[in-house]
Amino acid sequence: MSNSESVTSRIRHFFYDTEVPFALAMIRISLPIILMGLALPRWVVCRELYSSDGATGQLSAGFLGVDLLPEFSGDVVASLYAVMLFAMVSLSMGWCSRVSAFISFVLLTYFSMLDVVSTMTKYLVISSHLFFLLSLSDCGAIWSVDAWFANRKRNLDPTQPRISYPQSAAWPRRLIQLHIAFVYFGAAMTKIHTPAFFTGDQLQYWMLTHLNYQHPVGEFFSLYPILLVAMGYVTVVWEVMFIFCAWKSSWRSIILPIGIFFHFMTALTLGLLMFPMVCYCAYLSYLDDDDVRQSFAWLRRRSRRFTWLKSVKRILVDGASRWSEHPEWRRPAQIAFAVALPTIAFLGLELEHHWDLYNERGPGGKPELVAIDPEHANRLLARVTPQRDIDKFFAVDMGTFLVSDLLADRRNSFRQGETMIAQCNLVPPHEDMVVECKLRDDANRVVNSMVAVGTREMFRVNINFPISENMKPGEYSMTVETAGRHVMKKKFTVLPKYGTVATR
Amino acid sequence: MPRWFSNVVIGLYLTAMSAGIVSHTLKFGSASHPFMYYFVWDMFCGWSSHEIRYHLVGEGESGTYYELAPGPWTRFMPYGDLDRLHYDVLGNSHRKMALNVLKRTEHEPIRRIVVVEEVWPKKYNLSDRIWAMRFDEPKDPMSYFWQRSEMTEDGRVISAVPDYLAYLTQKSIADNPRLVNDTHAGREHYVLNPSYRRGSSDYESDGTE
Repeated sequence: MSNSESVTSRIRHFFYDTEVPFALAMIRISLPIILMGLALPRWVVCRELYSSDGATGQLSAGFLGVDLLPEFSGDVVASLYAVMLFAMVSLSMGWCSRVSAFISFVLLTYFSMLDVVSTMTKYLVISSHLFFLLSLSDCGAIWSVDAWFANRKRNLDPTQPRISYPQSAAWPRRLIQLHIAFVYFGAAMTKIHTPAFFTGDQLQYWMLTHLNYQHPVGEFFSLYPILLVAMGYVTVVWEVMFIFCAWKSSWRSIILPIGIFFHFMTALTLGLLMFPMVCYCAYLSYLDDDDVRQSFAWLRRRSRRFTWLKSVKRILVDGASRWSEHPEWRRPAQIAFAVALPTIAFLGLELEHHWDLYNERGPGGKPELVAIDPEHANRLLARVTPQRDIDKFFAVDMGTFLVSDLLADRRNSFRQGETMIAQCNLVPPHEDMVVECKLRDDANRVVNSMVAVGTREMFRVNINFPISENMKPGEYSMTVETAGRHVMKKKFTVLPKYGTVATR
Repeated sequence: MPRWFSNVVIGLYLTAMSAGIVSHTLKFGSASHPFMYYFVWDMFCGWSSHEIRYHLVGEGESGTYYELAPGPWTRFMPYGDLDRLHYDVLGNSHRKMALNVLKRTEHEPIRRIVVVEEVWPKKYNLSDRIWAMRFDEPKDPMSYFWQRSEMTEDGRVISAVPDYLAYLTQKSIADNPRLVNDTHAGREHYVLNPSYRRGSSDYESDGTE
């Protein structure tokens, strides 16, 4: 019984301990700024992406085959989109924070569900969750326009800050923490459902995909699938452990930096830019009062070294103090926000009209349709070409030992007495294939040949070749054939059992 | 905010998140409704060994072919240097995109709209420098063009086939003569379901009419 009371009490403390909403304020400020990177480029084309005057791609079409959400005209969408941008800016400023967060949540969710093709992503889903939780929180209680106009208690105790920060229950921050932990747990389940993730094939192909932003590091990493397999296992273990270890303990100082590194690497290797930023934003929820106060104390200590920084800080503090002396402005600020919404909607509409996305109101009227070069059109519309053999194979590599069914020491020279493994990587989907590897000497004579079958579910075929002493040191090549047809060739060198070719 | 309200929010929120995880883990109802997308965390669940691009082609009555996406206005590239149509993997919006461009432009009468997939193995995405590190032979990239669907000017679908990779998969299975024979063995000649009345040979296994 005492245990159950203890658990209840701990849950109550977990969700309802009061704290200064430092973390929520930081998320409130940073998240809209980050999302502007997505929202602003879409502003110009909002009529095309989200309105009945364009070509929407509703999320529901992929699930149910129908468009569930109502689609408004381009004018309405231009106005609503401007309102959403304004709400995100005002949320970042902390002007009518809860209302701004709620408007941002509703409109961002609506617009992203209207365009699954080029807007909806999982980081926007996470952002919608964060906006929703911010709208229920006191995220605007500090570092905001709302806070400047609020009546705040003054501390007479000289050891305390001059103005005491407002406190509120921790549960919105706790839900954000739990949210990101659930996301990682779900992502781990996804990986467990994907066998190719643990063979390195999925990651290898994602790193070669040119759908996201540039990621040349990914291309380089794709050369080392063993590394990808190892990183894949680490990722899954980390994602599962996150929900248990991200809480305030010594584990947190391991789990969170791994997360920061992991997302940084997804930017470099997969070209994901916004996803890491949104996740870093959510990570701020793992900072509690003590962490923030300690960080500020550290910053204060550092800033004492620079006089200019001290003077900037003094100006900011004085400015903030002057503003906070006007609580009577709070009501006018709320009224101004209510007036700003329709004004911004109108301005957004006018601006979008001025842009004239479809060039319909220009002097020449509607634009002409663009003709395709006839030769290119013929290529596009020709009957599909039979698949070449070379396109059923990714590459052929050579080495001497396997780890996780992947060559661990990819190389091109072998000593007599070693066993060379020829690994033919196949490109799925492919049919059942006969794969023949032939070793040829420098006079193009076949010195060895082996055949294997690559069935349709296989990603690679391994063939072992003993490099016997009958194979004299020198240059060789291995040709890969299927059904007697040449596919690809790879050169390699046979070295004497001891020493170098030159010594013989 | 009253305590009862925050209790309800916490309870509902954690229930919804847990339901999403359980549904996704057990593969039960995870695609039952669009809102599940907000509670199922299946990032990077799919993958392909091929790079795919899409082309929307309109054939005018004069025999001239036109590009129906992107439209002849501000180009929008959502995640880098590719137009929006290339991200519509399910092909749910290609029809809308083509019709929108036709509606907003001057053009001769259009005889048909064709959605074409351009597919190539991702190994050809390797830069020349990395290619040289791994391959002894020069890069010889080739794209395969696959007509996914054909529509009339007003967007009525005349024909549609699965995507190119599904075609390759089907072809690899159809290469097994025993399996093909087995699919014909023991089949009923008369089935009451109306969908079986459409005949047996209007679509060949190689995807041609």
